[in-house]
Amino acid sequence: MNGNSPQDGAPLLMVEGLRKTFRLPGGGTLTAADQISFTLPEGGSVGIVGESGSGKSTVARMLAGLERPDAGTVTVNGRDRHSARRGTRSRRDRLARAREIQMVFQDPYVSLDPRLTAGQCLRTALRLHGHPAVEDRIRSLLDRVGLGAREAEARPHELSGGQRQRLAIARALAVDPCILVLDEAVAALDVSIQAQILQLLAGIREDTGVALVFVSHDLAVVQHITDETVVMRRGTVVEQGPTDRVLRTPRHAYTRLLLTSVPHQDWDPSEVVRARAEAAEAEAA
Amino acid sequence: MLLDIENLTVHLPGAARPLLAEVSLRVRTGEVVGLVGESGSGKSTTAKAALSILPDGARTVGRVLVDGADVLSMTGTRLREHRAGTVAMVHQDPGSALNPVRRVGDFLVERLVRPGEGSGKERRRALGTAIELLDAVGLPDPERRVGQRPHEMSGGMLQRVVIAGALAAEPRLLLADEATSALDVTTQAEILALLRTLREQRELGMLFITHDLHLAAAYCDRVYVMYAGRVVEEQQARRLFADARHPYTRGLLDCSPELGGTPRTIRPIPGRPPSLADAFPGCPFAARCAHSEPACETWTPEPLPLAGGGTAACRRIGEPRPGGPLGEPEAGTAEDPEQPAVPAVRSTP
Amino acid sequence: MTAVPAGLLPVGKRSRRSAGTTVAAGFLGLVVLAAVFAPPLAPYPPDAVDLSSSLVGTGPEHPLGTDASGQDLLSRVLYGARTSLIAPVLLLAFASVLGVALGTLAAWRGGWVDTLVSRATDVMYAFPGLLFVVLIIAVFGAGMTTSVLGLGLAFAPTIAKYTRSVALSERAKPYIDAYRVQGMGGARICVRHLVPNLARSIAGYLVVLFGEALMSLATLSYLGFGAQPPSSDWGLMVQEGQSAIVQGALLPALVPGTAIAAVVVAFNVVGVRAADRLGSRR
Repeated sequence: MNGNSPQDGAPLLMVEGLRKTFRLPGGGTLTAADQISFTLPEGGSVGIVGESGSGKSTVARMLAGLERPDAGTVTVNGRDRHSARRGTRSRRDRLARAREIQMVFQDPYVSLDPRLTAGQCLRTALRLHGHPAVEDRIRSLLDRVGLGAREAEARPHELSGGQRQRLAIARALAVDPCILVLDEAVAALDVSIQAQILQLLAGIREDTGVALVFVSHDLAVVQHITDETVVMRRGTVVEQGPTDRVLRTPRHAYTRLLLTSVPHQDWDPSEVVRARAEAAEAEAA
Repeated sequence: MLLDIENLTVHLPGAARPLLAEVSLRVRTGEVVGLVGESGSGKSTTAKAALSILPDGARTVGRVLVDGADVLSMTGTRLREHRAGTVAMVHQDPGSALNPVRRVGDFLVERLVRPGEGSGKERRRALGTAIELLDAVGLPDPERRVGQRPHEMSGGMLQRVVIAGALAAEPRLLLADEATSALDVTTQAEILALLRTLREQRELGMLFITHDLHLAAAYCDRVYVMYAGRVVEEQQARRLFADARHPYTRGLLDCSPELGGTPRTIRPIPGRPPSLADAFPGCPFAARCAHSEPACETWTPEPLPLAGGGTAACRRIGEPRPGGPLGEPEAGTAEDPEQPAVPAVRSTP
Repeated sequence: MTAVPAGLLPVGKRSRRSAGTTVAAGFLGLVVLAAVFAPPLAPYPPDAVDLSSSLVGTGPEHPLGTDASGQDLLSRVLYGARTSLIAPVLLLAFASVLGVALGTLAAWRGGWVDTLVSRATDVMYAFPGLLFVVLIIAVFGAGMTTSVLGLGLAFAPTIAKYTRSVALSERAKPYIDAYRVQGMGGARICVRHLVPNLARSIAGYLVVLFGEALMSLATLSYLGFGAQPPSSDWGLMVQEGQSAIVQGALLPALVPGTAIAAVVVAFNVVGVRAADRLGSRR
């Protein structure tokens, strides 16, 4: 992908002991994430699962460099992403970091610049990174995500939700990243569109070898698209491991609770209520 | 019959197709009926018709009966009483239903005593009822909660308060419009368990509107699936998982990943849900359907009875099943006018 | 909570409101045209002194009468529209360059930069604008340039405050995050993407400020700090016409005074609507 050669045996992405605390308006503090560690091999796919307030989005934002961790490191290809002091980073450094990790946001209605057409949106990213053949690359990117010449001239408000999310993915790919962080990237979409985007992502992963960090509340989606899963709750990791193992034979009561909460045939929501009470008891013990 | 919508068609001036086309839907007392569809399918419009809330300038054909009374012909006081009494609606966002600066108790008392009327004694009695209602919706420590304001509570708690408010007028029919969609999965399950209990205790009929077919099939007694303003399928919920008959319903089931042992291929439905600007001479799903034939483009959909009960609005429904179009669909037949054909992805094992 | 969506207003109320806006906008259009085409429209040169026809009332020769020096009031008011309209534009242009830059900087950087800018603008805000300008004029001397620049400084904090608030909410949108993730520098994001996306709402706000700017400039000219004779600035004309009131002639003060009042009212009517439309779109 880009020039950095990974160190022998080291994973592409290594997250170690990440912590982020926010100051609350009332004077208190909220530990949004604490002791988060996981790795991601080249071309791999890891899911971060949790409910609202679990801190999964904070982790995603720290990976992308939008939040500065209070402690811990995010290492890509052996290089610490947060080593430089704030504001002292050179342009070259910023661009190199951008090529490590790109991000796709949840709501495609606000994650695109309303003033720019799809073509201009990609052109901005490509020019910033000094891409040689900008116009050709725009065409191939749009084509890759299933958008045509008509959409290239359209502004976000003229596109459907699915088309916007396709464009957001193309924008992330324009930078040619090693890792794509997707923060609830299919949650705001219609069911049939969600499936199209998942299929698109799987195809892109196969073609480009980009590694995925898939942040979601939806266990079924995570099972579908990831190899490894990290289950988060109230800022901490309660369980992690191969997706198949975590979702088939969950070890933590909370993971079991999440799994029983997913509606299925002959599902009884009152079982979930019981499981939740048990999980709370186990926690108290 | 508690709610009986008969052949309801709603036209909006300037729209290429009707908002609702010949929608028929019934809810019995004590029954939970699912109404499933993607954005623009008309599911919310159908639910609001039970309250006679239709868009400005809409032309309607057909009838909406609640407890035998024709809702669409109601006016003035009669309509207000209907909206305040027989039918209650719970929306997706509890925050927008509650006044942020008023106490939760006031919100409930307002529903129990007419504003401006009622003596202090009546209001005190109403507050007692409010506490009972909060208790009934499973909110712990209701005496303290009535004095709290919305920002002091979580989303799940707020939705309980809204449900308590909906129950205040002792309605017979509850319309739950994506009432649990904004909640976490564990909280969703708790609210659903609560609604189920309330239905039994209070003999409520419930119309449960959601975009999640799996959820509707798992939770409801009977499910209607809507597409482009039409009901395309109606079946007993438990049969939907195994024997969905309309290609769209099958498509919805096939395209959403499902938790479970065997890795399953997801097959996206190509194209996008139609907007009001898209008009259809025949079956609205034909353009996205893997089984459509030229004749589908001109066939006016009508609900055809299914052997095991229920209906499906597909002209190929009567054809012999083994090897027929609505048996196992052939993989990768989907042709999308917008997207390049991509082979189906295999679920990661 | 208090805003009523236009769609819910009774039809009569809605159309009356937009009728008022249309009339005001039409009037402003005429004023601008009058300013542009003052030379062919004005019956006399604005500075043509004719002492023999001093303080003449309305009549065929002088439709709006004359002032003490016998200058034709209609001609002066038409020419005066030029300075009276252009000066506030320049003032607001200067004030918005300063205000938008400071407001954006405060919103983008946050922390101590925000505190510093916010406190500084608050102090300026609390200080009466006119008094501030009079101080500046005391140092640099009277005149239109000093007035425009001085008032520009006085208006900048208001614009900075407004820009900061809209920039803060725009900045929180994920598309700005996306630019950061792309590796774009903060200055470039602000100049190329953040501010252009604020342009609509800031423009709406400037329309509202225009009336106030015109009024303040007229006041300065009236006090003798702004436009200097023989200019036909409306504020100056009111001041010059004042002495004629004692002699029983109301027109020399009334004509420019009415012009100021009418233009300010019209701008406020249009401005409120423009701010609504420009701010709430999208």
